[in-house]
Formats: sequence, structure tokens, C-alpha cells
Amino acid sequence: MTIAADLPERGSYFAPGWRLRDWLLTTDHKRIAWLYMSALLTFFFIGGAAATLIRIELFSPSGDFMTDDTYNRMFTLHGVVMVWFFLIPSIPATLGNFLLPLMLGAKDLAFPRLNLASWYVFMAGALITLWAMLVGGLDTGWTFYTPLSTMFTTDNTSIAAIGVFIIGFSTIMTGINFIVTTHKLRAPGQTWFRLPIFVWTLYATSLVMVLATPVLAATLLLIVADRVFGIGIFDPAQGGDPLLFQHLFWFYSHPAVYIMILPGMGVVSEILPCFSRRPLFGYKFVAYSSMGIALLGFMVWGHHMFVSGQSTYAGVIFSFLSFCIAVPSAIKVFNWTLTMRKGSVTFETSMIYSLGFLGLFVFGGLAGLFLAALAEDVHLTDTYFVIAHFHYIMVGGMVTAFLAGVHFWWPKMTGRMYSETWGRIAAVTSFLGFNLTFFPQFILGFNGMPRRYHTYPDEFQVWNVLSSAGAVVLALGYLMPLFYLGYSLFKGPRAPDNPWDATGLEWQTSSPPPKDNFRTPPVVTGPPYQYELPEIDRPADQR
Amino acid sequence: MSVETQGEPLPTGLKASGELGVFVFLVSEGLLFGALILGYTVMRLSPGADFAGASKELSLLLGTLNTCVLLTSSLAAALATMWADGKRDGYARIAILVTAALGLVFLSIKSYEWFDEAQKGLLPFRDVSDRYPKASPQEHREFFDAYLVLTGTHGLHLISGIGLMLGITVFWKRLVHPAHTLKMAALYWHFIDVIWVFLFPLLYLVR
Amino acid sequence: MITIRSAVLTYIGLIVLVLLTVGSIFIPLGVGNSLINLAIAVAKAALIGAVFMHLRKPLPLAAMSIFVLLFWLCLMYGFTLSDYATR
Repeated sequence: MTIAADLPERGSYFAPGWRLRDWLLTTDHKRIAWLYMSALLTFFFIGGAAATLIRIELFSPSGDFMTDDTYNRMFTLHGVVMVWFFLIPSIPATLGNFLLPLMLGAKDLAFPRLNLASWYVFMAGALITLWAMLVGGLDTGWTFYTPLSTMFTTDNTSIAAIGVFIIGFSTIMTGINFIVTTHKLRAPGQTWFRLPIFVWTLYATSLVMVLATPVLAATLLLIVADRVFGIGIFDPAQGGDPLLFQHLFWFYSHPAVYIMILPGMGVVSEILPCFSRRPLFGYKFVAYSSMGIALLGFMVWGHHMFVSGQSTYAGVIFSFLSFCIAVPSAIKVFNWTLTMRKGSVTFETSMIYSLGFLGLFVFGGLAGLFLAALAEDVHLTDTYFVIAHFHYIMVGGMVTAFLAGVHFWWPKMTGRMYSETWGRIAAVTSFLGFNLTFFPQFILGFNGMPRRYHTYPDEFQVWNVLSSAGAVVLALGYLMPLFYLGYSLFKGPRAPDNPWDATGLEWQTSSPPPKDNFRTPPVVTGPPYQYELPEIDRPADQR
Repeated sequence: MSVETQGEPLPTGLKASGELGVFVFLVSEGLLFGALILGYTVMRLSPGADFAGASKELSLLLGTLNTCVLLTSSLAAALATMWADGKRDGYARIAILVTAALGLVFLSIKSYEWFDEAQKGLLPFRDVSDRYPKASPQEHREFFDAYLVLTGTHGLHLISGIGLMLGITVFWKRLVHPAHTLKMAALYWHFIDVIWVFLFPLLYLVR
Repeated sequence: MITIRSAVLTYIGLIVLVLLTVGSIFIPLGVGNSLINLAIAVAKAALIGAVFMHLRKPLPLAAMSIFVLLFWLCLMYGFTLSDYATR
């Protein structure tokens, strides 16, 4: 294979081999990260294709491109693929898998074979669900609401639910691996408060994974039991309650959005100090607030159910707690901003993405406060306002952070440098395209356009057209990295060990690292982010 | 500490990692069953539900017997780990077989109960209900829905536990650290027992 | 460390608790029955945990994980049932 000849071979983790079984039977966390990366990127573009079709349909007010049923299946495909096949595993399974042992100074994760198994389980579940959605279709939305999903739809709900159930196992396996690794495999001197924030956020994410995903498993189990055995737990006619489904589903799915965003916050916490040449401001606040988000994230799920028939008193409590959860996020935003103060800021690609993250995350988060207000939510729920809100966070936030991380650590992972010019162009393109796509949706939502409808009144068309146009630009922005990053694998200049002059144990080893990560096991003697001190750019024993 | 990731039996590191890993896994399992039991709780607390009535249809005798069977199997598992730690592999492997055997006894009794309840038309098996007399009053359906889901999920976990135990005892010589692997499997087994300890009063003792 | 003695004593204690819990349902106490049964179940779980699962002298992290589980179950049950209680 020609690729093998072009990547730095001698001594790196690519050296042991390029046969199929060297990849499919590997227990090396770095290779497993690449297994996940290729799968996740494929799924991202499948979900993106569904989004493209949706935006084409929404270009005109009448449903002329798709039937009602097809449209339902299209947004379900988009949601399921993007949430479960891309966002939930994204940073943890790719960057997390690659970097966690490196950042801890370890040879590998605590359970390397479990790591490989998690990839196979993920692929099995994803392929089953994908098959169910593409052959026959699933029209319930990614949220599987009852009674549509249990009683009225004739689509492949059971198979899709089983597929997602299986993916859940993969998530839990990854979570267990990360938790145990962080507790047990830190290098000598690597105390908790010397860990990079990326490790803290991966740890918080892993806790959420382990605590929330089983409840999803139970919920999906109950849906399948309802469809196969006629269990009436969600059926009022049999004494059940459809709201019980929503409680159980959102008990998982709200923390799931924190699974999706926390790692992105970690990535940005690594990049901003590096390209401001300043230590992270308020390290302990950022660390504690990550844990705080994980905890509070479990107490707000009812805000998805304000108009569902849930008790108003419970609604008030959930609303209050939803306001509270803005606090730890805000703390982080302030700390990130203050990190840049009086720094010498440069605009590498990953920095542009990180700055984009900062702005878009704040914007999306503020929109969330509107939705957290009970009375306002009555007007805004199930409109495009909600869609805009979560896309600002998940796409403007999370996907941006994912790209930031991929670019930042690309030299480390591949031993190659990519073209900064093209990187910057892509980053700006996606930022502009993103805003053009999703800002009009805030306006649409506020004016009352409901979500999951493919026909709409004529007065909404101008905003929909803007949004669809933006989607073209956004797609361009996301396709560009495929080309210049792919090109760099063949023709990019060799990367030095530490091209960004960053702190952190991962930069103390070669690019790409050897199979066991470090030629001699590292010892940590100082705190992270030692950027400010010009003559001591990193702890003395780590040069 | 970073050197000790793979295969080396150091005092901390590998063994402690394994045990922590199992406990974290058990936390996730606890939440799985917790969510299912929450569903049960909601149904039981809903007005108009005749849970107590439905519970009478279960065989108290068989349920109690099963509880004792599972507790005995836990005893066997505990003794197995004790003997394995004491390097008495022969005793340990026999104790594991006893554990698995008792697990199979539990499953047999459970299957018999299910068969019996299906015959009475109590279980919501769509295909089967045509052949057997129609289910008793509507309220009982709720209870048996919950019963089926809870005992079914528990049963699936028990099957995996039995498979694990049999695998360990059969492949004992091929394991790198059989005593350690057994200890982790035993933790899982005891957890399955603890779940049943809660399911038993919730399902059988409601009358 | 488990000894044969501690294992067998625990086992006997568990069986006694089973008989107690089954016996108690023949004394009609309304809600009290459920509470007694749940309390006995908790006691049995505690015995299994403490002796069979070595939680009497646990790894601190193992003990913490049990605490986390219980706390999270309280969150799930507390908030959900608060909805049902106040509808």
C-alpha cells in the first residue's frame, strides 16, 4: 500500500504493519482511534447527505421533492446518524482514544482489548441501525416518541432500536475504559490537578456515559418489548403512561448532549492557551465546572417536556435547574476569554476553529436560556428555534471543536503538517456557512415555523432559502479538510515533535509516537499550561 | 505506574484496574435495572392499578425456592474465590460448576413459571395468547408486563453469568490470572443476586 | 478475605432474612409490609455486598462507585416521581 511508504515509519506506531489484520486486530489505542475516525467521518457525511436533502426540500414551501413519509425518514436518519453514529463517540473515541494515554504518560488504556471490542460493537450496532433506516426506513424521529414508535408506525423501529441499544454498549465500554485509565494509569507526579483539562472533560464525559446510557438501554428495551410482546407500559389504554417514555428517554438524552459537548470544551481548553501563549485562566474552576456540568446535566431533563403534560411544579424545578446549568458553562467561557487577555494571539487553523467555538457556543447557550424559561418555551417548543439552538451548540460548538482538535493534533497523529492556508480558508468558510445556515432558523422559530414539517407558509420562504444557501457554503467548508488533510498524508512536510510549541506530555514524544507512546516513561513535576514563562517553556525534565 | 499496562501482575495497576472496571460496569447495570424498576414503580403507584391482585397469581413457593437457589449459588461463588485465592484450584473449579449449575436450576424453575403463566394467559405473548385462554382482568396485564420485562432482563443477565462461569472453569488452565478473572466474574454474579433480592419482594410479596 | 466461616454465616443470615420476609406478608400491615420487605431486601443486599463482594474493606473507589449509583438512582426516582406526585 502506497500510504505506508509515505508515513514516518521507523519506530512509529505505524511501523508494526499495514496488513488488514494489523488494523482490525490491533489493541493499540492509536490505531483504534483511526478505526473510529474512518467510521465516524463516513457516518458524518451520510448524516450530512441527509441534511442536504432536507435543505433542498425546504428550499420551497410546498412538499414537492419528498413525500411526507420520506421527509420523516430523512430527518430521522439525519438525527440518528448525527447523534449516535457521530457526535456521541466523536471526540472521545477518536481524539480521546489517541490522546488520553499520551496525556497521562501511559502506554495504553487500562483495557486495550475492551477498546477494540468497543469499536466492533459500535460498528455492529451502527450497521444494523443504518440498514434498518435505509432499507424500509424509520420515521419516528431520533427521539422514538411513543405512541408513534410503539403502536402506530409500521417502520423498522424494533431493529433500529436494537441497533442503537448495541451502540450504547460501545459507549459504556469506552466510558469504563477511560474512567479506570484516568484513575489508575497516570504517570508518576501526574496528580489530578496537573492533568490537562482535556483529561478532566473526558473523565466527566465518561462518568455521564456510564450513568446515562444504561437508562437509554432500558428505554429501548421497553420499546422493543412493547412492539414484540405488546407490553403496555407506555399505553394509557393498558394503564401505562406515554410520559414515562419521555422521562426515561430524556433522563439519558439530556446528559447525552453533555457527552457531546464536554470533550469539545476540553479540546478548546488545550488550544486557546497554546495560541495565546498564556496559561489557562482559572484552571481549577474549569476543572470543577466540567464536573459540575456532568452532575447538573442529570437534573434538567424535564425541560424537554414542559408542554407534554408533565406537572407544572416539576416543570418549575426543571426550569430553575436549567438556568443553573448555564453557570458552569459561563464560568468556562469567562476563563477561556481571560486566558487570551494580554496574550500574544496567533491565528492558526485550530485557533480559528476554537474562537469560532467560543462565539457560537455562547450564542447557542444563550438561546438555551430562552428555552429554559417555562412560559417562553410554550411558544418556542418544537419550532425551529429549538433546532437553531441545538445546532449552534452541536455543530457550531461540537463539530467545530472536533475539527479544531483534529487540526491541532494532526501533526502528532500522522507526523505530517497540513497546509495552514487551506486550513484557515476552510475554517472561515465553515464559520460563515454555519451562521448563514442556522441564524435564519432562529427567526423562523420565533415566528412560529414548526420543526419536522416539510411544508410551510410562503412568508417563511426567504429565511429557508437563506438557510439552504448557507448549507451549501457549510458543506463546502466541511469538505475542504478531506482534501488538504488527505493530501498532507502523502505530500505534507514531516512534522516535528512539537510544531505548536505546546505543553503537555503528548508533545514530549515523537510525531507520530512510537507504539508504546514514550521511549522512556515520563515523570511530571509541574502544572500544565506553563506558557507564560519564556525561559522555562515546559518542565525541565520533559525537554 | 505508567509502565504496567499490559499483562504484568503488579500489586496495583492491572488487578486494581480490573476490579474498579467491574464496579464501574456494575454501576451502569444498576442504572439499567433501576430504570426498569422505575417503570414498575410508576405503574404500581398509578391509581386504579390492581397490583396486589395480580401478584397473587405468582407462585410464592417457587419464587422463594428460586431466591434460596440463587443465594446458595452466591455462596458457592464466594467459596470458589476463596479457594482460588488459596491456590486450591480443584475445589475452586468445582465450586464454580456448582454456581453455574444452581444458576441453571434457577432458570429452569423460572422457565417453568413462565410456561405455567403463559398457559393461564397471563403473559403478553402475542403469538401465544391465541392458543391459550384470554388474559384475566386488564389490571393484571400491567403487572405481568412489568414482571416479564424485569424477570426477562434478569434472566438474560443470569445466562451471561452462567456462560462466564462455565467459560472460566473450563478454560481455567488457559487464563493468565484465573483467580483474578474469577473474582471479577464473581462480583458480577453477586450483583445479579442482589438484583433478584430486590425483584423478589417487588414482584412476589406485594399481595 | 472471605473465610468459610464468614461465608456460611452470611449465607445462613440471608436465608433467615428470606424466611422472615416471606413470613411477614402473612401479617397484614398495609404499607408497612412493603416497607419491611424493602428494608429486608436492603439488608440482604448489604450482606451480600459487604461479605461476598468485599465491600467491608473496599477499595475507596469501589465504595465511591456504590455511593454514586445510589445517589443517581435517587436523582432519577426523585425527579420522575415528583412529576407523578404533583400532576
